[in-house]
Amino acid sequence: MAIKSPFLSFLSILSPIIVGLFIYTLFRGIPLLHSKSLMPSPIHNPLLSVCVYNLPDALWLFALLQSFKVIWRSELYSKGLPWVCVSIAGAILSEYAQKLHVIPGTFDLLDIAAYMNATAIFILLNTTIFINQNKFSV
Amino acid sequence: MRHFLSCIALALFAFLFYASSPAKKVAQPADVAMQTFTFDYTPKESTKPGSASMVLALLKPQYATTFPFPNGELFKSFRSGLGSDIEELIIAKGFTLKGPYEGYDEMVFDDKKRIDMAILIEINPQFVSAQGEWKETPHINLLSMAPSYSTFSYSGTVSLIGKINISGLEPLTNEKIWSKSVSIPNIENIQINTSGTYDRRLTANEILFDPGVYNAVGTALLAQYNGIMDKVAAHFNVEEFNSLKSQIKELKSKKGF
Repeated sequence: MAIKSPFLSFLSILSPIIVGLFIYTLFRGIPLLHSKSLMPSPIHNPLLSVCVYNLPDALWLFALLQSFKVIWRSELYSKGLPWVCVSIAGAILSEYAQKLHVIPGTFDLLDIAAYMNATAIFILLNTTIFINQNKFSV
Repeated sequence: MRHFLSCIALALFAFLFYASSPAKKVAQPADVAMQTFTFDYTPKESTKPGSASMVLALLKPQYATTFPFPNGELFKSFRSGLGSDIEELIIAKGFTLKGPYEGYDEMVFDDKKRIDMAILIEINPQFVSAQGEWKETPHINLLSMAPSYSTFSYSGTVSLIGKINISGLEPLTNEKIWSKSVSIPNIENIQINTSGTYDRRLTANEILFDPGVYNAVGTALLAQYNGIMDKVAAHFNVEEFNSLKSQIKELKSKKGF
């Protein structure tokens, strides 16, 4: 699924960021801006809880991978691959860093699951490029 | 150029994650409820009320001035339970009871004339920290502008020792005519763990009010309560008290009664 239009490319990066920020602003507040949440956190509803606490991180990782795709285009899975791997590994390791209190935040296995899902969806959406880049000539 | 752009993208997203990371959490004790401890003792013997032909006044038990936690719920409950149970014990032994009084000054003159002996109870428990230490967990914020901080939790054992001093005064002269001491059976090595983490090491006075510590000490004290009361009951001996009557009479006569 190659996005040719620059506008759509831009939108594919920006929209997950905006949705994530929207969720944060609405339900969690943004600590750096000292903004408080506008609505109570739905901690008693598991599905909504996942949407509020795990989905934004997944959306942002997806947006990051999408930005690599826009930057590297057809070379994403060759020359751009280290950036993809570093981002995914960094996201997952950041969770463990939270567990060890090295960085602020709360360790959550669901965050790791969310990162993996974001990666899986990104790969699925870009299967065409992946297959094209991994064709072996006989 | 692409590597540079990738680097910028990664940095921007790292900043986005950082900006959304939670601010420093103020350490809070875990959501462990403090238990309610009720101290109650049933006297093992029961004689006809008034059969001992002696009038005793009971002054409500007080903690020794050196005891630092008299107002904690656990120790208020212990004091109140001990007072009520000694009341029951005095009546069950056949004595006639006046009071309980909050203090000696509450006793009116007419009562003082009629009362043979006023019973004063001083509770003097002591906590001895056997072993244990505060565990410090550093929280280093490498990626955050929030300052690094540490949280603290305590794990260890304490022993509860001490005694209950019971004395009898002739109320008109205020002279001590009888005195006993009941040792609180050593409650050793009570395992205490703070139920939550704190942003500093608590003082000895504060740690007792951590729900985890409070519950452990309360449970240990409750387990020993009947043993303590059995020892107290043994000291309220009718025969011994009756042997004091001549001394009481002599003291009252000094005051012209």
